[in-house]
Order: sequence, then structure tokens, then C-alpha cells
Amino acid sequence: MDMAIILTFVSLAAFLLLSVPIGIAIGLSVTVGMTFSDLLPYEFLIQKMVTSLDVFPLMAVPFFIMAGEIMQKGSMAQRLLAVSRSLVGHITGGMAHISVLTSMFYGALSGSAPATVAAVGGIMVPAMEEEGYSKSFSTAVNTAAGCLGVIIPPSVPLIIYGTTAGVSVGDLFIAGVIPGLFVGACLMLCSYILSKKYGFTGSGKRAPVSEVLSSLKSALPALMVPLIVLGGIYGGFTTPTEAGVIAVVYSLIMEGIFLRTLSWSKIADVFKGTALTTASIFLVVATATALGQILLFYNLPNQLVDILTGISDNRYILIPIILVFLLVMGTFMDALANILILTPLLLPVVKHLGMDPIHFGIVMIVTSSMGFLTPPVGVNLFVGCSISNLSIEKLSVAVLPFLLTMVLALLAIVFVPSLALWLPGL
Amino acid sequence: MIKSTKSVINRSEEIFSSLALVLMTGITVVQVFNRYVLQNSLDWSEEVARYLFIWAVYVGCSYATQMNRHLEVTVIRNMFGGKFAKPVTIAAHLCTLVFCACATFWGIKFIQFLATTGQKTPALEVQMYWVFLSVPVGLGLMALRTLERLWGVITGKYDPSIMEIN
Amino acid sequence: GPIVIKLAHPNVPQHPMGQAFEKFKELLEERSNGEFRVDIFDSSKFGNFDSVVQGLQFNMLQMGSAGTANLSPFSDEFLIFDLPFLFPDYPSTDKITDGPIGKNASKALEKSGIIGLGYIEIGFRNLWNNKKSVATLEDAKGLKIRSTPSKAHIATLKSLGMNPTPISWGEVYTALQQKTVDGIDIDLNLAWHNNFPEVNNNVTIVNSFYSPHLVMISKRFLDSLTPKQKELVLTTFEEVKLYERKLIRDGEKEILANLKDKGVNVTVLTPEERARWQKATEGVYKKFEKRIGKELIEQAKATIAE
Ligand code: NA
Ligand code: NA
Repeated sequence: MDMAIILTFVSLAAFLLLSVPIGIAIGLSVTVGMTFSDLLPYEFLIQKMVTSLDVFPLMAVPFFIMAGEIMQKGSMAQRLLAVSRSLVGHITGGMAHISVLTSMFYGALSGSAPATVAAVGGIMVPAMEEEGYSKSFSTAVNTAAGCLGVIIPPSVPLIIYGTTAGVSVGDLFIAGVIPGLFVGACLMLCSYILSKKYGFTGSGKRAPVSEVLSSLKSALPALMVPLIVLGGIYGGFTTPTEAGVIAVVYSLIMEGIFLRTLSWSKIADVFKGTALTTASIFLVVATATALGQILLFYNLPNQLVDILTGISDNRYILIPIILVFLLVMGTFMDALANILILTPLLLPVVKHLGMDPIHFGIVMIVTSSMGFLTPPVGVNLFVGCSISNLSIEKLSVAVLPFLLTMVLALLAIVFVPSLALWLPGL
Repeated sequence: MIKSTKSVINRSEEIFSSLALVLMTGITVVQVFNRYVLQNSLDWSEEVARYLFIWAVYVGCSYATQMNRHLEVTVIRNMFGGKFAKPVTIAAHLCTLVFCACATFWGIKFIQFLATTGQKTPALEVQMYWVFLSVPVGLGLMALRTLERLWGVITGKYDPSIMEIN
Repeated sequence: GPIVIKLAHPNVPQHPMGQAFEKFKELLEERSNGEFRVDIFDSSKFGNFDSVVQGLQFNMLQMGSAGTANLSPFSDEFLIFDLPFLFPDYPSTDKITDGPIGKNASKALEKSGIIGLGYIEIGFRNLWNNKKSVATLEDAKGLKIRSTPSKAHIATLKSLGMNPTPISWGEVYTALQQKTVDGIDIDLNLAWHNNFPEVNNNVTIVNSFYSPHLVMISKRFLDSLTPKQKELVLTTFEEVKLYERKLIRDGEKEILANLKDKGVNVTVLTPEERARWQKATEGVYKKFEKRIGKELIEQAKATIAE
């Protein structure tokens, strides 16, 4: 392997351990690699830091962060909390189930995992804390459930995969439905077990119907948000970015004018909070994109694939190896960069092993969504951290049981192809 | 009114990045309104929104340093009851300072280069370097804020072992 | 080691453009006995248009391909390809791209460190939609059609009575599937390779715009080659250029033949009807006449008529 690659990763690890801001640490390690490779001028990094953010669909993230902040500063989170409490407050881990279910619902309108964490987690994490759930558990369940944002269609990574692999995006979307519901169910099971262990029991007694109805009525403005966003996208009126901005306007009008829960100073806090979260996330996205690009220039993915096929030809040996490889790549590479770089390289290998390209697409999306949950580059973790102010290592540990659950779910999706292929085959 | 002047300077990144986000949102609202209500698409709105977004991110980076809101891996800093917190934090700040200074320098070089090629943005047809200026400005300010924090850590104004970490 | 040519283009490897650059790699590596190595970055893996242009200027990237619509900030002459209904057929497009007009336009890039090698193509744009079969100008009226951000493209769709909606490429498929727009104005090859026939069941062969791609090479890189190496790169590209155009044109015929099996209803504009569409867009010429230059437009028309 190239000396420059080794230096890039060694220095990255060193900078990260020193608690250098992650985006800066990645930028520094790219600089180190560039210094020892003579491959590119340093200006390349500057260029990538701008062009990697010059993408309109990315703006869905700050919009959903903003809408989340508004609803959090206003009263909607509390209103939703009342509904949740009245509906499932009595079940063990009820609030965690609400988080996962809401993420599944929200996943049906968002194509992005971090935006799902921002939108659902922004509301649910404070609400769960108020209900006595631990900060780490609340953040972890929402961070993990955010993955449903890309597994359940529509999904930006699935579209990218479809066009890269030359398979039908429509089929991929249909294929993603059952695995998405399946992963959601697995996450709920995991939350149930954890809640039992930690003693997050809930109130124990079911709320009377009158309380359910009155809480539903008071939460109607909040419940309308997913309806407006979902209706906008599925009705074909808006793109996710536009739906995001509509959610911002809607929640601002609702909270500011109708419910009068927002003062000017609270509105200023919303924008300041959004600015902080947006900057801290996208500094990482910017330099991580540059890193992904540099690795591509070093020809690293190709080298790794050569090693892979040199090991074995047996599908029960090679597919788990490929999964591990994808998971490892997912720890420090951006999901889209991963998909774009690895799909053309791995597809011939998996086809050779008799795997359907649509099936592999779903496997690829589930695997790269797990990359959102692993440091050093895990966008869901970053969003989760900014929502709760939890440290990244604490959240990484708290999210582990969910990650493990997703690994088991992934194995089922890999070795029971009909989970993905049954619906499109109808 | 000396005090308020000082506070405006001290809050310049906060004000700039928040306003950029507000403008970005406003422009996208106008775009959506034009597209869906007036049935008339604008050709400049998306480009302006994207560039405001980039500016908000990089100036926001400096604001995030000021508020200590960057994403960091704080394992070692918090180990051994924060015994190594101070030297580790000082080293981290120095690394950040080096990168921000380099990025500012390369950013200015890249802008000079863009000025010679005269590349323009597609819709607005303004010079492309106005977009790329966000990096040296934002990270240059971030270098100053890092210096400020570094001084605070050295003099004991900030205690990194009890600092609220992200 | 070998001289590495990093080559970037925005299309998928199966698209004729991807196939042609694959051929370029194969031919150049073989003919130079391994003196050259070509690394292809397809599907915009190298980044967006700005990344490609700046990459070429800095010699981070040695070769790249970009649509002429993106190149107009460098020279207004590229806007000639933004004019609707200018070209009646493929032989006429070759006259312009390979002739003095195309060569002059690409010369404008030289002062910014980029050499234009020559034009390959995407093809002619046609009208796809999921609403109805469009045979006349009246049928097209009111359709909400995805357009590129190009001002001329938007003006053209407007003057044809349609409602142009710019949507970024990454969001196009979803927008078509979820019916955010009624359809799209795009060539047959791209439509086919991006699975648009799944979401749009009507296509009208309009041949409105011709979309060429300029293949560019870094000036710094080209200057670093020996005359013999330079010659090899240029002649190999020339051969691949013709190969790409053939793949596009043969591909269109093949796709047309296969569309019916996909359940797509194909309508071909009658020559009289196409003349009406052409007439409806005359305002677009007026609008861009000043920037492109009346003379250049006349020269192009005369060259085509030859
Ligand atoms: Na989704
Ligand atoms: Na990761």
C-alpha cells in the first residue's frame, strides 16, 4: 500500500485522539497525505471544501434542523409528547418505540439519514429526557432509527446506486420497503429489551380515551407537519429540500402567529442554533468528501478489491468479507462516496457470486447506513451529538446495541434475498 | 455606546452566519412560492441559496469555535479524570490553528487563481471567487477564535477538563 | 511509472460516452505500449463541473468532458448550441462542431489553461411526459417540464407554452416518479440509461436542442508531453470522437425500436408541426442575438444550409 495512504490514516487517528475538531482532523490528515504523495496541489482541498457543499439537496439538512429547532423552542415537542404519553406511555420503552415509528414514517418522506435524525431526534430526544429516559439511550435510539431515512424509499443513496449500477431505481425503491420495515421492527425489539434492562417502564396505566383525544387535538398542528411534508413529496408537489423549507415556514407560522409560543429572542436562538449545528456538521462533510476523493486517486478501492477476490471464490466466505469491508469503509468514508466508488468495483464480484444487483443495492444501502453510526465519520452521530450535547464516544457506545441489531438484520437481508426481491418480483 | 459596538464585533460571525441562513431560507421560500403558486421558476434563486449556505457553513465554523460546538473525539481529554486535558487541548488548538492558517493561505492563492481565469457562476454570472472567499474568511476568523480560546486555556480562563464537550 | 491521465465525465459507464472513453483508455494504453495509463472517473465521481474545470486548470485532472451549456461563462460563442431548432439533423451538427465555429468557441478556453480537443455528443433533446401523447404545440401547452438551469432552455420551453422547472440532476428521477413535474426534455440515450421510460410513458421526437460535449485537456499537461506523445493522444481522441458519435446515433435507433416493448408511446413530430414549434421559439433567438452575435448565428445557419 502507498506510504501516503498509511500516513493519511495514521495521522488522522492521531489528530482525532488529540480531540482536534473532526473536520479539521480530516483536513489535516488529507494535507499530510498530499505532502507525501505529490499527487495534487494543496488548493485541491480548498476547491473540494467548496464544491462538496455546492449541492442543493444537501440544504434539506439545515432546513430540517431549523424546523426541528423551531418546534423544539416552541410548543410542538411538548404537544407531541402529550400524545405519545397518552398513547404508549404505559408500554415498556414506549417513547423509544414512538421514536422508531416516527423515523419510519419520516423515512418515507426523507431521502437522508442525518435529516431524519435532525427532524425526529430534534423533537424526540428532549421529550424522552423529560420522560426520564437517559440522554444516551434517547439519543442512541433516534440516531440509529435515522438510518430508516435512507433504507425506506425515497432514498438519495438508492437513486445514486441505481444509476451507477445501471438497474431500475423504481425496482430498488420497491425492494427497499420490506427491508426498511424489517430493520425498523428489529430496532423496536432492541429498544424493548434495553428499556426492560434499564427500567424505562413507562407509567404502567393506560390513559383514558378522553385524554388521548384532547392531546391529539392539541397536537394537531404538530401532527400536520409530517402530513404536509409527506403529502408534499408523495403528492409530487415538492422535492425534499423544498418540503424542508415548507416545514420551516409552517412551523414558524404555527408557533409564532397561531400558538404564540415564540418570542423574537427565541426565534433568534433558532437561527443561531441552526447555524452552529449546520457549521459543525458540514465542516466534516466537506473535508470527508475531499478525503474520499483522495483515496480514489490513490486507487485504494481497487487495491482492496484485488485483495478480496484473491482470498476466495466461495459466496459464504466472500460475501461476509465484502460486508465487513463495506462496514469498515463506512466507518471513515461518506456513504455516497462509498456507493459511487465501490459499486462499479464490487458489482462484478457479487454478480460472479450469483447475487442480484437489486438485492446487492439494498444490502449496500443498509450497510452504508450503518456507516452513519460509526466514528470517526458518522453523520448521524454528529447530528445526534449536536441535538443532545452528548460526546461522540459516549453516543458511539450507546448506539452499539442498535448497530449490532442492524448487523443481524443485515445478515437476514443478505441471506434471505426474498426480503428484498419478493415485492419487485410481484 | 462603546459596549454595544464591541459586542457587535464579538458577535459578527454569529450574526453573519445566522443571517445567511435566514436569507437562504427566505430565498428558497420565494423559489417554492414562485414555482408552485405563480407557476414561474426563478433561475437565480437556487444558486444564491447554495452560495449563502456555503458562506453560512464557513463563517459558522468560526462561530462554532467561539461557542465550543465543534464535533470532537474527546476520549483522551477526558481520561484519567481530565489530568491530561490541558496539554491535549492546547495541542489540539495548535493543530486547528495550523490547519486554519494553511487553509486561509491556500484559499487566498486559489482565489487569486480564479481571478486570473475569470470564471463566473452560471446563473448570476458573478466572479466565482466570491463563493470561494468563504473558506479563507471563515477559517481565518476561526484561526483568530482558536487563538482566543487557546489563550483562555493557557491562562486558565477556560478549564478544558470541565468544558462542556460535544 | 506510466504517465497517468485522469479523465472525468458525468455519465454512467454503460452510456455511449462511458463506452467511448473506455475505448480511449484501451487504445491509448495499447498503442503507447503502456507509456500512458488512463484512469476514468465516470458519473461525476471527480465532482461537479466547477471541479472539472478547476481540476484541468490546475492539472489535478488531465482530461474532462463537459456540456457546452456549462461553458458559456468562458465564451458566449458556446451559446450557439443553446439555440433551439437550429440543427435539422446529425450531419449538420458535425459541420458546426468540427468546423470553424466549434473550433473558435473552444479556443476561448485556452487563456484559462484548458485546450478543447473536440466535441462528442449527448444527442438531440426530445419531449418526455407522463400525461398524454403530444403531437402538436397545443398538446404540449401547460406541461410542467424539468429543464436545465440554462436560460435559453427555460426561455424555449416557455415560448412553447410549457412550464419549465429547473431541478438538479440528482433529484430528477424522483421528481418524475413522484410527478413533481409532468416530464422532461432530454435525449434518448440519457433517458434510457437513467430508466426514465419507467416513469414517463410518452415521448415525442422533437429534436429541439442538440447537446454536444467538449472534451478538454489540461494545457499544463499537454505542454508536458513530447511531440510524439501529444500526437498519439490527439489522433487517438479523434478516432474515439467519431466512435462516440456513432454509438450515440446507433443507440438512438436501437432505443426507439425498444421503447414500444417498454410500454412507451412514441410520437414523431411531422415536419410541418416541427416548423410550427421552430417558429414559436423565434423569440429565443432575438433574446440571445446580442450576446451570441447576429453574425455568428447567420454564419451557423449558412454553414448548416450548405
Ligand atoms: Na427515505
Ligand atoms: Na462511519
